[in-house]
Amino acid sequence: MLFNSLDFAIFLPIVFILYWFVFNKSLKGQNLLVAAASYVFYGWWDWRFLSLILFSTLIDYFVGVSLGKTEAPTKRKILLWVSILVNLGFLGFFKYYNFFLDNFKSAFSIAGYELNANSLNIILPVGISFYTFQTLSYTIDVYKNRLEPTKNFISFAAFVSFFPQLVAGPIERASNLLPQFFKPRKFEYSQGVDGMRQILWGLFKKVVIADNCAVYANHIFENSADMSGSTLVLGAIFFTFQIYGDFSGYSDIAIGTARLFGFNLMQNFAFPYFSRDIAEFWRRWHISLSTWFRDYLYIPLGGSRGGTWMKVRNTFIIFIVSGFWHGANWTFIVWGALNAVYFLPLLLTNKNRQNMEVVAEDSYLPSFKEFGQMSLTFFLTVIAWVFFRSETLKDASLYIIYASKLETFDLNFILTHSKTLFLISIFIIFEWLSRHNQNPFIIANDFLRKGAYSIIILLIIFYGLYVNPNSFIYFQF
Amino acid sequence: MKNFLLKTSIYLGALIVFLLSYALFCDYLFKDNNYYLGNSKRYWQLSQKDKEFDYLVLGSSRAYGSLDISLLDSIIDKKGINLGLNGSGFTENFITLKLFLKNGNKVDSVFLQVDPYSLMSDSSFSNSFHSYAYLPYWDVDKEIENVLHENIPLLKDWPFYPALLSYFIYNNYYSPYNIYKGLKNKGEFCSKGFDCYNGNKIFDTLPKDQNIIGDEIFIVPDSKDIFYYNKILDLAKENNIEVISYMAPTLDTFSNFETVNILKNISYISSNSKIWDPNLFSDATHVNRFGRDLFTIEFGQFLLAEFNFKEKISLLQKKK
Repeated sequence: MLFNSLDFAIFLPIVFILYWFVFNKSLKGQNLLVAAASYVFYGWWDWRFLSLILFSTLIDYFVGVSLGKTEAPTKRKILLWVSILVNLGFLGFFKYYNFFLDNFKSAFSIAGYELNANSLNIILPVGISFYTFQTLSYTIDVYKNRLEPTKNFISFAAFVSFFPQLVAGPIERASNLLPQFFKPRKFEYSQGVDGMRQILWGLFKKVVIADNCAVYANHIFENSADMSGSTLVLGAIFFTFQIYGDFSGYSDIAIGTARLFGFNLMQNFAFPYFSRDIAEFWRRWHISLSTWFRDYLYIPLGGSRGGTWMKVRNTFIIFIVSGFWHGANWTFIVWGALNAVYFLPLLLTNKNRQNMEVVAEDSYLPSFKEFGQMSLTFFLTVIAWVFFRSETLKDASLYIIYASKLETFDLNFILTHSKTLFLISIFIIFEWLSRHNQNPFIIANDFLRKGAYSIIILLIIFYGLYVNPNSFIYFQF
Repeated sequence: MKNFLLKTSIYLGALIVFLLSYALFCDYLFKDNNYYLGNSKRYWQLSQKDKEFDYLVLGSSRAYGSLDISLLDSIIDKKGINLGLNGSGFTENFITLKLFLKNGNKVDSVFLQVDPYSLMSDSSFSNSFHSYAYLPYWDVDKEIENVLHENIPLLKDWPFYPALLSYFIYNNYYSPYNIYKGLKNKGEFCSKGFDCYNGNKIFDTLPKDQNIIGDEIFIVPDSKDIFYYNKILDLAKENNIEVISYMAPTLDTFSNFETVNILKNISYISSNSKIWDPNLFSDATHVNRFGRDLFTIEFGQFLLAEFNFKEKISLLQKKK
């Protein structure tokens, strides 16, 4: 079920009413409802893969319970590996089987051998990368004694399948989300209002910004050989806003929806395009995944301790794995590697933690220096997104080469894409003004706040795209 | 909770009142032929009443832009009307013809544009059925409603009925910018986009200076499209209307064209190699104004040679 569909517009109020008016007296009932609603939500897309979530839930539940019963290191290690192998096994089969097979075949054919194995027609279950990582965080945390294993299966099933963030995150840490299923929940007005605001802002990002940008970005990327340099630059910028609007919009709706049910999810995006360097960008982009990799991969590998070689190695590993997490294609791997290249100079000169606070914290506008830093970071990010969006490395390279041909630049695109550029401008203004908060509606002045609501609602009504609602890009990851 | 629900209801209520008022205003504009709006040809089609023609052209943008009615009239000495419309598949073509006849109009022949794209409307057009194009939503014609019931599964068509939701979902046709353009173009209804005397497309752009290359397409006919194609033929038969099918020029090629029965039976497909000159196209599947002239002359000559159209005594001539 898509957040930007009428199905969800009906589903959400029904679950909300049942949750607060029918099951409000029983925590167990509420958790059961959340689990059931989550399975309906997921099954709406393809009910066959419900068994996959259920299986993953059962495995991790029993691994957790068994870890709680034993102190023997060998047995604990075996249990941990069972969970890792099952979860990553599913992920590997559904997401990476064909990629590895094709690459093995190519490698063998270069060496003069022919492998007789056919690719499989595999459908990637929506959200598998997200819930796999979420359940893995549970077993790893229980294994490391950072979290008590739960014996309450319903709460655990609700945690794994929690519908607001099931298919595209934020990837919640078990230590943050799971305990919330055990605390009695009472509806709070401020939390409800805040949830609605977050949903409104997320919807705007998705149906107005991302979907409008998608129309042109898709056309330009699919016909890049026929486009002028200026159009290609514009196409890359449109995709840059498309992916941000799409993914952060989803996260906002997820966070807002969770709040309506009394849950707090972690912030997943914090105005990444206002970052002054790549390190700051990665602290603000897909925060739940970045911190997941930091906690469960980067730090266990040694992090930034050790010599220069270790730092370089770990940085490349984490960025390449992050790229590979997005999809089984060399374009994602190069996208990750490129970001590692961007990041490395900052790490080696110990400047990767120099921009920790919000840009222009005490002023309305950035300084020239900050503006220059933000522009450079944005430019580097746009180049990396070309690799992310392209089908092949060759397509990406040609796209960048054609886009660099200054002689083919013209300014007609401003007229032909004025509507989308206008919408992006409004989006940037709202983002800038609200960069200290999670959404632009946290305004003390009643009149200004209602004005902001009205503008965003009207833009959603008049410029949102609803016919054949676009799926979210991150569903494919 | 009470306060939250109350405030949410107030916001929703205010929004509904605003949208309903705006939708009423849009309806008024759409029905008034003084304003040229993006979807105006649809309303012009539906506004034709008690008229008589020797022929009409039915089909998608490829019908709309591939035959010049004035030129064709002069070649075959008959009076026609072009009801072709962007993005229309056989489903919309059937509704167009049905409502055209229901409105008391009469016609002798239908030149029906048939091609692989119209047999694959799900993949060729952005929507399989352009339900949203039939405003107003609170006064849906019975014929359109029937097609909706036949065509779209229950769960998919429900947003069509609550008028408000439909306006909200299909808002591209009533965005403030579109309405502004319509108001700005008041009185220019018949000089922008199409000629409202005979439905001819008015080309406002010159042929593009670029290399246009067609794709190779494998045809997978959709049973729904075949169903409505047959309904058009049945409707024509009931009303003693002759159907002459033709295929508008395209630069695309089709690997299995000969295996599809409906396509094999098309009455006219150009065999003139000059028509496949990319300079005569505005994109791979649409001719430009020069391409249209050439194709119209060719098609007119075909009608004279094969159907003896000049000698044919039409409804109009009988009347005279």
